[in-house]
Amino acid sequence: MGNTAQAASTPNKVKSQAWDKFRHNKRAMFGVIVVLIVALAVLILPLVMDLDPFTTDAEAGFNTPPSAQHILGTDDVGRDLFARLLYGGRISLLVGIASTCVSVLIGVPLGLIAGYYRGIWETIIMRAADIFMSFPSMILILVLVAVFGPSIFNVTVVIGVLGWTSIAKLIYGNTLSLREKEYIEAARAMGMKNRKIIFTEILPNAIAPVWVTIAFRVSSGILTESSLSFLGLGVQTPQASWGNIIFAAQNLLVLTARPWVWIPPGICIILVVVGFNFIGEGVRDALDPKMK
Amino acid sequence: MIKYTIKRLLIAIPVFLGITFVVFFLVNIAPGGPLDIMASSGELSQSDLEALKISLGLDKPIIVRYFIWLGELFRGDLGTSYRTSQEVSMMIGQRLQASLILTGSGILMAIIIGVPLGIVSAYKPYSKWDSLANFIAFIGASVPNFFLSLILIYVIAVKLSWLPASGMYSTSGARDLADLLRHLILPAFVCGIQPIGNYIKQTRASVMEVLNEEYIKTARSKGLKEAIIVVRHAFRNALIPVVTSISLSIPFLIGGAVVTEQIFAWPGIGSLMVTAINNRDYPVIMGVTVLISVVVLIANLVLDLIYAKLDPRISYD
Repeated sequence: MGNTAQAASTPNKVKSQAWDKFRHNKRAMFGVIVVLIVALAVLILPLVMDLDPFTTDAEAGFNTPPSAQHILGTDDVGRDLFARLLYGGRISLLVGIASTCVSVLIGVPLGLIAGYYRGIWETIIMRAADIFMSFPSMILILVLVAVFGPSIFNVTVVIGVLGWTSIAKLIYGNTLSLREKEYIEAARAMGMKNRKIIFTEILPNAIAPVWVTIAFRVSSGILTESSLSFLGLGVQTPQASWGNIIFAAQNLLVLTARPWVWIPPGICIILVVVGFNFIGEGVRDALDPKMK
Repeated sequence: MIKYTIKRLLIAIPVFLGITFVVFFLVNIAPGGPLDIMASSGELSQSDLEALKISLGLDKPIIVRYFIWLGELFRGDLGTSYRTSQEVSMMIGQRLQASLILTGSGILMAIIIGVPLGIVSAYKPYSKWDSLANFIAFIGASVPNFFLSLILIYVIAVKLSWLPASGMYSTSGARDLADLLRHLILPAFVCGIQPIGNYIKQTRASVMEVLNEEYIKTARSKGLKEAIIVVRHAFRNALIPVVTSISLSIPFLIGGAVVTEQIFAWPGIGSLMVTAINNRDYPVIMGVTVLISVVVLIANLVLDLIYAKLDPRISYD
């Protein structure tokens, strides 16, 4: 209570304190650097190295081991695997980040509505959240992707839509306690409209835990996308994603004789997931006073 | 306690209806239904397809079909597969045991390793055990389970040939318990490693909190052995958050098992589901969904009852 009042009076101070804490967190900065390096590599390297992930290199041939010309060799149809690794990274990062945006865009408004208006909205939205949370989301994702067809867009939307529950719960919990605060009562007494109260008074104070979950959501989005693509139900060739490059390793020959095909994308997934998890932990430590 | 059990059971019913309706609705609005797939084979004429549509009941509105399906479900009839014409309940029955063995041993392994490690690392923070616990939690949270499976198959099954790479039993030789266990170790490890991290973190945090309580100081000052203090006094009271994290991990465990079963060619529900999805075999998809929701609901119910047992205050709510 005292904290909230203080935070409201000096928001900039709190912000700069949190940023200071984040900046001095070694793990968090390591996460930032790893993610930045991978992001820059997948964005810039294909341009400067003039790589082509889609065309067969007939000269080099199929299934070649790493060489000077093809750093990671070629795949079963003669495409450059290093190029596919980089282009796949773009897709994997894109799906992770975009699906998180979808989750936030759905989860935040629903949490606000359920927490502020309560009544029937609260029952419908929060019961729906319970139902979604108690069921394995992987199974629902599989069904949805099968129904709408596997594509980058559908995979992103499906992962994003099914990720709304935890965000809605966090916002709902905060809204529930904020709506009873005196300043909200004052705003109501002054005749402020509900919608305005929600967006200008409640949302800014309820959003903090969402910042904490964002990085974790991105990493879990990347993991889910790669699992789907690995099952052949996610990003489809000729598009590359880290998961669908590893898909080739379901063949025992590729698994045992050509480890350069599937190990690099696996390491990339781990690096990025670790990076985002460290960032998430850093944000949590910086924003959550209980963790001090 | 009986009243509490009944209340929990009643809450489970709308959850069950909600999940099955959502999935039923989704698989039925899907483009490329089973008829399209059969039609694309080119062997059936237009009038055959119309007759098939009526005999499969696909001409009725979705909501009617849902209630017909629900009625049949309560008579124990899950329908027949569009693809293989086998009874769905039989197809699931053949694979249920394999899945239960896999997820059951995964969760058991996670509890057996995770909870003690959590206790030790709470009791001795920043010790070797604590680092080990951190490392395991880190692997579970950061390494995708399909990649971990591939690495394990590559190193342990292929390079070292210590354990078999796939299946539930050897194709030749005795199909006994020893053979099953050898096949089980790798996939169960992969299933268990993901929740392990959460169990460790949760146990560590809640035991640490309890260790600061006054009654622990009292127990110490009256000269009780440390082991007794930790196990009997601290851990018992730290159990509730641990049970919560176990119950929250069950849906993830089941979802993760789909991928693991696929890689290790484990003949369970998950691989049945993936095949059914690829073939748009609605009755099988629905059957598996029903089964998984029932399993999840039962697991949650059991854990709710464990809660009430651990903390009698809960059942008075």
